Amino acid sequence: MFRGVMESAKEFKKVVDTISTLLDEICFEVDEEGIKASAMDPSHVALVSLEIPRLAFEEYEADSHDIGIDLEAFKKVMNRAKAKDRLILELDEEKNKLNVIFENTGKRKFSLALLDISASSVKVPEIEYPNVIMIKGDAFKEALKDADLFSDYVILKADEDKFVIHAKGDLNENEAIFEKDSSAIISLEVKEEAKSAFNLDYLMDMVKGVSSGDIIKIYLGNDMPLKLEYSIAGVNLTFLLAPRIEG
Amino acid sequence: MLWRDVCEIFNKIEKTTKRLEKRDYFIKLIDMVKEKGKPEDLKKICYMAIGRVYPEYDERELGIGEKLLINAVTSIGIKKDELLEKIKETGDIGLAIEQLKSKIKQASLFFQPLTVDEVYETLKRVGEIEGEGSQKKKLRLISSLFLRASPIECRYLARLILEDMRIGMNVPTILDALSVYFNVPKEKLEKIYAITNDIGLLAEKLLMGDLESEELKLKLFRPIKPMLAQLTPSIEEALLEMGRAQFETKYDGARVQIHKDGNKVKIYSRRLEDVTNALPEIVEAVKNINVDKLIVEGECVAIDKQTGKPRPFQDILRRFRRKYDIGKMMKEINLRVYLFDILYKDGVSFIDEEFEKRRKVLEEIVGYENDWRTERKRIEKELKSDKIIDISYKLVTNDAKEAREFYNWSLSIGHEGVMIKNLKAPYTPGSRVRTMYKFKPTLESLDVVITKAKRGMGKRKDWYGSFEICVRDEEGNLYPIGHVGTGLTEADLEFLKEEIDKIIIRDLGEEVEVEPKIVIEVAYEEIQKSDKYPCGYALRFPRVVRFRFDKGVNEINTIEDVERIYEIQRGRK
Repeated sequence: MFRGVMESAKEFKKVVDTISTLLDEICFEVDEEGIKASAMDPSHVALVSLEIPRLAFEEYEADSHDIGIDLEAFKKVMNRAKAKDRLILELDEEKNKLNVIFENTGKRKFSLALLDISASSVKVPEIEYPNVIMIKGDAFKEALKDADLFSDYVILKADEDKFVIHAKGDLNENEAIFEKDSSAIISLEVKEEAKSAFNLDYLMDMVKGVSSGDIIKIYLGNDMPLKLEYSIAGVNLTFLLAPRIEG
Repeated sequence: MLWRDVCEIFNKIEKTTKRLEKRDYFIKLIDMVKEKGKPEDLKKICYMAIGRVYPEYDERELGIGEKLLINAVTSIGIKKDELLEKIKETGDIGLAIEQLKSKIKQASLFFQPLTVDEVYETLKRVGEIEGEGSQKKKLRLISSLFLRASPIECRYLARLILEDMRIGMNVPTILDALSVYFNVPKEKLEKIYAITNDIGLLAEKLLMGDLESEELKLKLFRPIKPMLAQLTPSIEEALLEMGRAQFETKYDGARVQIHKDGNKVKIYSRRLEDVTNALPEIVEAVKNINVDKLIVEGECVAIDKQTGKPRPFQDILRRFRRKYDIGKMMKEINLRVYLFDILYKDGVSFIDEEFEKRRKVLEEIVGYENDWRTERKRIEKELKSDKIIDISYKLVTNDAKEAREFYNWSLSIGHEGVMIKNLKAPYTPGSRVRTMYKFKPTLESLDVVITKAKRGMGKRKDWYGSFEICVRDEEGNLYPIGHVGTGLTEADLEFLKEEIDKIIIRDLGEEVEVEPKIVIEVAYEEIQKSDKYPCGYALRFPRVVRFRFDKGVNEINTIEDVERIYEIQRGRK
């Protein structure tokens, strides 16, 4: 059995919206401690990982299950969430469906047919990154929007004094500079100067769920995938993005 | 099975122009699959070798197109202007991407080499994506393949995506390779292929040692290649060979194959295209046939209600090519299908049964025989009727004089001549058999393809005025057999100008060389021996009878046909 209740369906909708920009389907690995899931995007340029500890739920009860979800369908259902709806997710083992229930003045129930996909063998690798930057989510998001004006990729640079987001088009360019002591930077731990380029389209997809007040943790190194972490309503999201090679 | 290994052999196949060498390299590929892969890999590789992802009987297309392909590779770092320049330079998107592969700048998180499975399944998935955000999803799936592909792998990926492999492989060559490798007579494989119309499935079953598989047998909604008739020089000669035979009116219409399962009906053209939507009134009439599962063959004829005579063949083809406004066309044309053979009924295949029995089963279904000798009055009365499903008019005889009367009668009601069928013959899919003849008043017209067009002069100065026409050999090579300029209206010339300008390969000044895509039917006064053309023959006074939109270049007449008609012609003098 699996049943979880969340206070805000709207907040969870952000999670689904974000991961469905990169994935078509995902397998929720459910157990007593919570939900885990990870998958590579179809182009194999990005990896998405999600962890929902049981503490994120108001109520939680579960055995071990693999729940294969069609994210296109799930996203459509979550679009129906209202501002004050609570969200109930429960597994109907008899019919092999996931019930998605919005509870407010009444209950609205949707049943999603489950996909037969096994738990992903893809996990976020244990990589030692030399540099970790914690930055305010809306500041990072705005810098990416600026970069989008002129380029389809962005260069991220970090040294011990600052974190820079740089975009260079054929004729125009733009730069957002965050000094170590700027209000947007929560912390800047740089052991090795780094500079890498990343596809902007994927980055924008990854930060879609970020709200003002959220904090993003960025792991950056030379010739290494970018790692991004942030949370939405207790749901921990981790993304990996392969670099773009300059030359 | 790695995509890289397949591409290396595709490259060798592409580099040679010799058909036997292409076959031999494909044999190496089969052996490689046997060693390294699984039967399903061979199935996929056979489709890919001929530029397909789906089996031949399946009409679906990937629908990716050049624009999306270009966007996919430019999204991962190749500059668009560099790509367009390289495409112009090489004339092939695959070669262009291969040469620019080093410009791809996006890294991948996935470091395993591409497998045949991954290429195949990814492209199938792309073909199925639709709805909101589908372009972006398609683009990412396509780019995922190029990110991981080596330069040569990129070349064949691009061509496969555009469903045009350009290595010169075709079904006959694959059948040859399978025949040699598995030591099975090619005729046997050709027969099975004609039933399945699925070269990949056949290859897979051979590798599994399962040539008796039910999947290789007749199946509803998987159309099979039609049995084809030989031309006979005379009724007497045919009767001498067959003894007693069944004569049928040879209709001036379009051949159709009809599949029925309860209320589901599908109709296929002689090229096995799905023309169901173009023939709604036939579909409704077939639904009323009181048999649950059925595969039958017939000729679809457009009938003039005033005269009861057939309207021109083109009126049917206009319908087949039409995708909209069917209702309007239904008012203009009255269609009738003359059923003439049955292949399958309620779980039983009839293709190995004698024709006499097949005909009896068909007559039981229709409810009458249309025996010309005994039912002639009713038949003539019904020529002008609204009947939609009928059965071919028949005469069973060994008397040449009586057969001649039936022949003249068939011509008098506006049809082409007669079919002459051996009552003991099984149905042989895809073959031109000596158990079924056609007899027509004139020398058989020839289906040829246009390969060059000469600019017009005088009244025709705004169009092309004359056209080099070719027949083919068994290997698919084309041979000029004449030039034709007569039989064309101004509307035809206008149409040809437009169509030819789309397929020009080279501009030679006074004339242009074109891709062999426009098939026409030509009549002529006679075939002459000629050293002017490498094939050894020339057509005297060729005249265009009609455009054959229903045929592709692999269906035009062969040099062998020309030789046969030449001998018939000599026999008449």
